[in-house]
This record gives sequence, C-alpha cells and structure tokens, in this order.
Amino acid sequence: MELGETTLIIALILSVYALVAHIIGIWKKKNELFDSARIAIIGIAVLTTIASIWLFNLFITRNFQYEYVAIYSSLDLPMAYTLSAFWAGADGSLLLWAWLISIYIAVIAARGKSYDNLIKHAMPVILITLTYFFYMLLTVSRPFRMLDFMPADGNGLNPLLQDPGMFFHPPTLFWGYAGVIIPFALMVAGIYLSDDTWTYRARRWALWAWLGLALGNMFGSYWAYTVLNWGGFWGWDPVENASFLPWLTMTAFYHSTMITERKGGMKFWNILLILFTWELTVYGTLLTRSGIIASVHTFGQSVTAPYYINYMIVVLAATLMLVAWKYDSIRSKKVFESFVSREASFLYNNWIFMAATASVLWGTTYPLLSEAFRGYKVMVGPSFYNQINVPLGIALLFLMAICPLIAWRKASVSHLKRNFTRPLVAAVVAMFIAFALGIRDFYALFVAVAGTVLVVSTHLLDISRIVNKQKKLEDAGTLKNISRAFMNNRRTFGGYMCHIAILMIIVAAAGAVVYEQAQTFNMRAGGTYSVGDYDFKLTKIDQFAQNNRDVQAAYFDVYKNGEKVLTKAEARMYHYAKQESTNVKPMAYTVGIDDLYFSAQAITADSATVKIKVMPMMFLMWIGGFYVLILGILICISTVVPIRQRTISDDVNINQNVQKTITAESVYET
Amino acid sequence: MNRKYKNMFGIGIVAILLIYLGAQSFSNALSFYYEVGEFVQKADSLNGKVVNVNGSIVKGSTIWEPEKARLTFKLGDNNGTITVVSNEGMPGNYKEGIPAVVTGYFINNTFQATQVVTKCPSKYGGDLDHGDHNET
Repeated sequence: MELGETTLIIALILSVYALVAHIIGIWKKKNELFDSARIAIIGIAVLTTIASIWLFNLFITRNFQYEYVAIYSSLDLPMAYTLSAFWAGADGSLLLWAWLISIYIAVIAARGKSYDNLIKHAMPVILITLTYFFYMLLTVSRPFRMLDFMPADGNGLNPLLQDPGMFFHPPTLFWGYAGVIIPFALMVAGIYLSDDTWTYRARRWALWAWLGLALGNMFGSYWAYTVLNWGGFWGWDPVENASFLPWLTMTAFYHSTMITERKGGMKFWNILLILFTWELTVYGTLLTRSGIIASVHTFGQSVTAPYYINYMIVVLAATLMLVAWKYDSIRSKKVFESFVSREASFLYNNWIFMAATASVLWGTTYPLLSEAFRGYKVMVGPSFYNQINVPLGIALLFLMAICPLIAWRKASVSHLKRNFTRPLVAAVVAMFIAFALGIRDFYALFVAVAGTVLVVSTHLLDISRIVNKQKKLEDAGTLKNISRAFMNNRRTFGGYMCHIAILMIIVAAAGAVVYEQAQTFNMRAGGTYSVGDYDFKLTKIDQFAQNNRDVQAAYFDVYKNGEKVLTKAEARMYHYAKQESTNVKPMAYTVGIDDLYFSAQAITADSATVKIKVMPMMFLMWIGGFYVLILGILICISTVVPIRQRTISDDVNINQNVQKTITAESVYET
Repeated sequence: MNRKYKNMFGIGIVAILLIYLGAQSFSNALSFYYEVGEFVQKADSLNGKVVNVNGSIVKGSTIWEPEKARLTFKLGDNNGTITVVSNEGMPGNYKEGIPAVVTGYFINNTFQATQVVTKCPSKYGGDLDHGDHNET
C-alpha cells in the first residue's frame, strides 16, 4: 500500500478512537481512557509527521507518478522551491494544516499535568475537525493520489510562487490557522462546562496563533511588494483579505480579554469573537483553496468548496445552539461605568476591529453573493476598502494614544487634563514644526506627525510611571529599575511594542501613499532620468540564464544631489521556458528613508522601459511588522497568563477585592 | 437627555455616518464583470464605463512593442472576441491560450486595459506530459 495514504488512514482511525475514548471517558468518568486517548493523539502527530516527510521526499525525488508532485514541480525547479511546492496547492496545504494541528494537540496531550476537565471537553472538538480533515485528505483533497502513468516531467511551479516569500508565507499563515482551533475548542468546552477560565486558557494559544497570522500577513505583504509588480504592499485582493480577517477578530479578542481579566464580563462577546475567528479561518481556506473567487492565488476549480461550507455551517449552528442552551451562564454583569474610561477604550477598539472586519468581509463576499443571488458578477475595487479602513485606522491610532493613560472605571476631567496635556502640547508643537518644514498634507501632518508624537509620548509616560513605581518599591539604580520594571510587566511592555509596530506600519503606509513619486521612462543605455531628488543612470543591459529562467536585467547607478548613493541597482524580467511565461521582477532598494522601486515593463538589447518609484518610509513597515511586532508578541507570550485559580461561574458573585488579589504570578498553562 | 443617552446618540451618529460612507464608497467601487460574449453584446451601452472582462488570450494574436511597453492581444470565448490594448507593460505570467481578466473601458472598438490579470490554470492528469507508462 502507498505509504502516505496508509499513514493518513491509521491517523484517521486513531482520531476516531481518541474521540470516542474522550466521549466515553467523560460520560463514564474513566480516567484510563483519557490516558490511552492521549497516547493516540501523540500517535496522530507522529503519523502526520511521517506523511508530511514522505510528501517532502516525493518532491525531493521528483516522483511525478504522484499527481500533486507532477502538477506543482518539475525537473528544472530549484530544490528550495521544490520543497515549498509542498504547500503550493490545496491538497498539500490541507495536509500542512492537519500536521500543525496534530503537533499542537500532541504538545497538550504530552503535558499530562494540565490535561484537566476543560481540556478533556475541548479535545473532542479538535478531534472531530482533524478526523474531517483526514477524511478530506483521503477522498477529495488527496496529496498522495497516484497517476496511472509516469509523466516525463512535471508542470512546474507557478513562477509567481518561485520566491523566498513563498517559503515562509503559507507555513506561518497555517501555523496561525492551526492555532486558532485551540481557543475555539476551549471556548466550546467552557460554554458546555460553564467554566469562564477558558478565556485565560485560550489566551496563550490565541497569542501563538496571532503571531502566526501576523507573520503570515507580513510575509504575504512583502511578497506582494517584491513579486507582484503592483508597486504596493496591500492590494485588498480577496485572498489577502482572507488572511487578514481572522487576524482582525483575533486582535479584538485579545483586547477584549483584558476587560474580562480586569472586571469580568464580556463573556458573550468573547465567544462571538473566537467563533468568528475560527469561522473566518475556515472561510479563508475556502476562498484561497477552493477557487471560488478569481485571484492570482487560487488553485483552479476544486471539489472541496462544499466540504468547507458544510463544516462552517455545522460549526456555526452547533455553537449557537450550545450558546442558546447555556445562555444563563454566559450572561455577564455590566462592566462599563463610563464612556470615558480604559474599559470603554477597549470596547471602542473592539468596535473598530469589528467594523473593519465587517467591511472587508462584505467587500470580499459580495461578488459571490451577487453571482449566486442576482445572477451577475461584480468586482469590488480597493477604493471601497480604503475609504472605510483609512478612517478606522486613524481612529485606532488615536485610541492607541489614549489607551495607556486613561483611567479604569471613569476618567474625570482633571484626570484627563493631568495625563493628556503634555502629549497634546507635544503633538501640536510637532505639527507646527512639521508645517514650518514644509509638510502640508493632512495625513502626513495629522496622522504621521501628530499621531506618532501622541502615541509615543503617552506610551513613554506610562512606561516612566511603571519604572517609577518599581523605583519606589526598591530603588536599585536606573538600569536595574528599568529592567525589573520590564521583567515584572512584560505583557504591558510587549503590548506597547505591538502598538509601536502598528504605528510604524500606519506611518509607512501614509508616507508611501502620500509622498510616492513615480515615473515611467523608455531609457537608452547611458541616459540619465530623474524622479524626485534622485537621478538614475542606465549603465548596462544584460541577459543571462539563472536556474530555470532567463534573466533580462537593466543596471542603474543612482545619484542624489550629485552624489552616488547606489551602484548596480537592477530592474529585472524573468522568462520561464517551462511555463512559456514572462514575469516582471520588481526590485526595491532602501536608500536613507526612501525605497527606490524598479519595475521593468520591457527590456530589449539596447533599451529598457522601466517604472521607477520613490517611496518614503517603506522601511518602517518591514522593521515594524517583522521585528517590533513579532518581538512584542514574543514578549507577551513569554509572560505568565494571569488567571483566577478557581472556576467562577457567575460574575455577579465575584468579590472584586478577591479578584484583585489573584495576582499576575498565578500560572495556568494549557 | 441624560449623559448616557447623549453618548449613545453621539456613537449612533458616528455609526450612521460610517455606514453612509461605506454605502457610498461601495457603490463607487463596484465594477461589473462580464464574459467576452456578454461584453460584446453590451459594449455600446456601457458608455466607456470601467468594467472587467474575462476570457482567454487568443493564440497567435499577441503584438508586443517593448519600446512603448504596449501589449495588444485578442481576448475571446465561444461567443465573441475583443481587441485589448494595454500600456502597462507585460503582465505577470502572460501566455497565449490561458484565461485572463482585463479591467478597463471600451473605446473606438478597442478595450483599453488599465490592468491585465492572467490566471494560472491548474493542469490535471490529462495535461501532464505522458512519458514511461506505468500502471499502478
């Protein structure tokens, strides 16, 4: 028998066994059944690992008798992209998803100590999903399907996917997708058991999934910037939107849990957010992997769409029925005393994220609805998304500025004056200075300058307040005070780093959009052409073979104010003989605060038609998104998750004082 | 009106403005999507409106003028053919015979494309190059 499908069949059997063992174990209260189910779960992870290694091996050995290998690779495909072809198609992506979920639950199963009642009730939800995925992998989405002939060569990988970005974008995204199911399962178990602690248990996994989703979105954006030749980092493509949607709702959830932690409540809202996140994760897979929306990413027509749609309907119906059944234990007490308070700012934050989610979901889904119910096809252009999400982004920026310094419960006028006078004065002064320096654009002045100064100053003020508290507690010198304040408040510091990262991304987007300068030239070798402050001299045109493609390259020396700032910058075009296709390879170079972006439209032996863009501040987007944001999330993950140590089924009975004494030191790990 | 209702009123106004803004920008951002045959029938009534047209790039129809970065080709399906001109350079993955969606407007019997998106079709069994024949 074929190794890949055999391992998947055994994994399917073990999943069913572990599921049944959990159900009977819960029903009959037999602990030994959970022990054997945990071993089965670890077995599932081992088997899916074997199946995945086997698929890698099939690609490495270029075994074209396997249809999936033949469709997504070829003899001339470089080895790195041969490996990344694993997730180039729908079938391999589903295997990757199942593989990651099985590893996550094996980690939980291997740590017996935390395998408590909540986890025991959560695990069946994950096992049902995993069983369904294995069923799909063996019936309608088969990466190990064999052909009845041996092709001489494979079709090769879509040239647009032959980029280092594709090595990281899908795995990080699926790391996030796989992580989302654990908070979802904990939520279902929490509703069933009327156990509110699911929120805290889910949070660490939610952060882990959020990290994957953030990385996936950033890699996707970087790939679009350096491969797709839009000259942009975000095009509101339906498939980009598909990965953005769960990130938005997960971000809302993480903020919402802070109100829950501080004041209880928001139970129903948290449930909705996690339900949306999981549904949108599956919806994202439906969009990207079933081919129902035309996009550069989709993989043609697929028979898997009804399977994902059915799964989504069942999940939605089952969760809502459970919520209706347990509604009395879900109802929260009122947590908002004032519309001007820290908790209200979190609520506004959630509304902004939900408004963004609704607009992106509507724009992405409307073409499908229009075709299905009105009989005609339409497309929704980027202007819709921008007109809704730019104001929302600005509102979010100012909310971020307010959040660190506003009081819990109710902020009085004197409190607002005391905390916000200095940041507001600094922002106004910065705007005047920027105006005097020649910045006139509304977005640049109001968003980039005033917004940045406000956000940075309020965050710094709060950090200085935390350090001062540490100093009062035990003064050990400035550096030690700062490091101790950091160690004792890692979640706050990590969260603030994420805020700064988002600020950097917003500023980069504003800078690139407002101050972008672009021009297209038909150039002759030796000629010099100007864009903005830069002069571009076309020094040479060359043609050579590289791996599985022919490269046409135009080389430039770049000058600013007469001084050479860049040598041998390139504009490139690739021709892939295997696919008989020609692709533009945009090239971006960072010089000072500007990105110089070269997009060749045509290259001949002695001339080149090249679009050159000067985009200021773009470097902030990548530093913010790849380094600051990820570091911030990692710092948050490193912290212990505060938790109420006992199950509290009704918030009305919480003694606020008792709640406050349960400190951030309490550890409860899933 | 007490403070709570005032606040609710304010939030409601913001929400209504946002929904109004969304509805306005949505109708402006919508563009119709036709198959070539459908488009040929409706082209005259569209009065230069920006639309999307889906079809296949006709084999042997491509004229590529690199010095002008101009691409001219025919887009067709079973029910019609149109001539497409794009001055945006060579689109990614361009190849004759494959499906493409062009965005632009129809003028002087030519479709002026501001964007050409080629679709990379999935090729299954039948399209694979048959080499050594092994039965499984």
